[in-house]
Amino acid sequence: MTSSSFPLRRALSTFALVGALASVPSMAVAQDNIAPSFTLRDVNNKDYSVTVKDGQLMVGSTDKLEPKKAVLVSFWATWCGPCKLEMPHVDALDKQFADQGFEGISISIDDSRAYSQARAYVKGRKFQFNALFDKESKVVAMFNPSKTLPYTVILDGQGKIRHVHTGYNPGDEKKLEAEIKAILDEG
Amino acid sequence: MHRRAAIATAVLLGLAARPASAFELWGTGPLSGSTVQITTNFDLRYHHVPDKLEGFEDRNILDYWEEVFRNNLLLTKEGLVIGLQVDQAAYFSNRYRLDGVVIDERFLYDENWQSPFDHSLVRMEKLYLIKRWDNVEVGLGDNYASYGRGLALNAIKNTAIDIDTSIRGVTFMANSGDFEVSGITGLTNTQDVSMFNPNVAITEDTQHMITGMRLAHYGVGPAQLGVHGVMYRFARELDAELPPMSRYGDDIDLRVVGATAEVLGVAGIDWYLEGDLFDYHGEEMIGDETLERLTGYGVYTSATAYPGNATVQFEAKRTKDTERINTFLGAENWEAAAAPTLEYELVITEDASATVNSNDLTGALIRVDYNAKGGDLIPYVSGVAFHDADVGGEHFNSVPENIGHGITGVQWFKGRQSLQLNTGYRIDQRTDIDFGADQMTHLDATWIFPVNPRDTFEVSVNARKFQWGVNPLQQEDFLEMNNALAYHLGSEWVFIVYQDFTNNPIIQSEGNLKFIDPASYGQDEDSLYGAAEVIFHPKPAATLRLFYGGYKAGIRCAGGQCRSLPGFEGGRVTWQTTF
Repeated sequence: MTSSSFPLRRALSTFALVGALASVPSMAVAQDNIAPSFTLRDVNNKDYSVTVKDGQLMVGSTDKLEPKKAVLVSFWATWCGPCKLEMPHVDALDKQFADQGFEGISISIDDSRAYSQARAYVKGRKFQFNALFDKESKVVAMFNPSKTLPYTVILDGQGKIRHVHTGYNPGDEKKLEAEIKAILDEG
Repeated sequence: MHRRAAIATAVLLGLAARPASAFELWGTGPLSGSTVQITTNFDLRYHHVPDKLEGFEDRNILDYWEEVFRNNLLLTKEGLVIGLQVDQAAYFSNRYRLDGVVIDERFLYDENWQSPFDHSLVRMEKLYLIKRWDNVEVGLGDNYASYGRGLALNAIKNTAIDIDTSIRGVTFMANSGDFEVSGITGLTNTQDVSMFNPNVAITEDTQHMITGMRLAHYGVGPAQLGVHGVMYRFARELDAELPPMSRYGDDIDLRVVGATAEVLGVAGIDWYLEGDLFDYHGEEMIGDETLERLTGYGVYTSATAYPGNATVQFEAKRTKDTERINTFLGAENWEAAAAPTLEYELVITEDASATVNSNDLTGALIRVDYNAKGGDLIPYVSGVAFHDADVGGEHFNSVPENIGHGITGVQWFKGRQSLQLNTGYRIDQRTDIDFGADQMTHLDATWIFPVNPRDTFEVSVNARKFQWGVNPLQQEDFLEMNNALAYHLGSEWVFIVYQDFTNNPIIQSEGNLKFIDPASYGQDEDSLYGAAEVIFHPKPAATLRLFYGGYKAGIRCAGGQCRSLPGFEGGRVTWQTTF
């Protein structure tokens, strides 16, 4: 390794370059990002998909996809305390808006070692929402590359990511409820 | 002045980086209509180093600044995902020069690393492309794989301890009817820059070859059956300067084959059974030059029932020489495969890690949860028993030992109030009574309660008391704690005070609350740590954190892997936007 007279300047130059790359102005045609499609296994080991087809958000088992007006996707793990606080609220929202074209989905990012525990957790608590398992970190890497938990995403009927929440503080469920209601009210 | 300007510029650049860049690509090319998302994480840390440079005891010469910048780009189009992660890290004020002579210098990366900058590096950590058709998926670049319950292969992101080792190569998956086949082949690619822990002397990757394949048959009645195989060929780290292919041994180092069976809902029980065989070649893997090969095996089973409002879970495992693979990778701080530990991993330490690292372990767990009050009150109790017959390796026992660990806890929710509590006692009893027993008592609790209609207060206590039997290091008993008080001001602000304590004599950090007279508390000097943090969410998807203070070093385990985390004293600014 060679010594430089201006290590600080060089380091700053590097940082400025990366910073500038990250600061590329938005060439925004659409403000909202289309959610990546994915398929995972549910508690019954069945395929369950969230996908966008012809501009419509479709959710369900691979052979029985249904259109939805709004979907909440909540990422959690068995070792995440705040996630466990949020999950009953996700379940309540799923029940509250189920007949209006809304669906709540939880995705465990526990690896396969903890799969038995993660499945027992959601089944044992008798949550009604669809619980999926991302044992190989594939889906969380697309939605949430920094992998902060809990991490909650709300999609509209076109599959656009309309709201993202990192972390959970008591009372946040009111915001989630308002955001879901606003999307559903759009028709 | 240069230093101040650099820091100010770095902060401004970090904050100015687009927090949420989602845009759609124009044109008529193959990527037209794709949407692009950029996620930015920025961390600027001021490290205060309590040690003084000899001859310069009046100055904090060893203090330095560190900056880390992570950018993730994600391009999505129907059936197509392209991802890129670029990390950049730099040191500032890490050299002390006197009269033109460099007196001290701290290096961000080791001398084998190729970077045009002395104290900064840019690293393309991850790059992947995944294309999916109706029944086929192909991936190029960095991907992950986990077979069965992780005994044969478990290359995944481990978020909790900031480990991310992917397999850079090719993956595929195809399904037809109830059959699914998938495979992966490539070289391991370790994430080099840590976003959350200090980066020190970053080393170049040692790229190992991994090839795996899995076949699953779903829908055999209520059962799912699977078989898998994995081959490992490890690069020898000591030969890192040699041409890439010459780093590998002459033969495949390890072959693993396994089978799984999962049956759901039969007699109201979810069943799982897995068996794996390990076939090691090479002296480095076996540890005995008189043997040309060594075989190991692992068996894991679980059964979960849901009678009434209860959940009853049983897990058991038997592993023999399955951990040799991870012992080989020990210096690289990640694990290629790991069996379920059956343990409460937050209380595993380097001194009580037999359930993680043993090469000859038999154990079982039973846990019962009960849903009371419609799920608002959930008490639970669990018990685990192991027999660890491994008397070598990195853990303390030189004779076999029997391990028992009982835990009880409760989750309670009522409106905006909640309590998550568990406490337990673990004993590692040596079969030779002269060696005594290691004992640990632990308590973890988080209580959140409303202060007013808008705000809540959080009290978090985590304590572990260790008492040791006879071991080679003859470590002294110690107590360690991580506590915190947090005030949640609405959803936007959180104000936190942290307090750590440890009187572990071999801890690799010093407490920063030395103004508190240790004698008056009967404790050692350097045992108390304090810190404060303000967290601000200007919008739900963005977080700004301001931290100042110190926390202790320690080991943290998650996902069957453990990482030694260095202590920290100083300040840090963190800006994170996730969309």
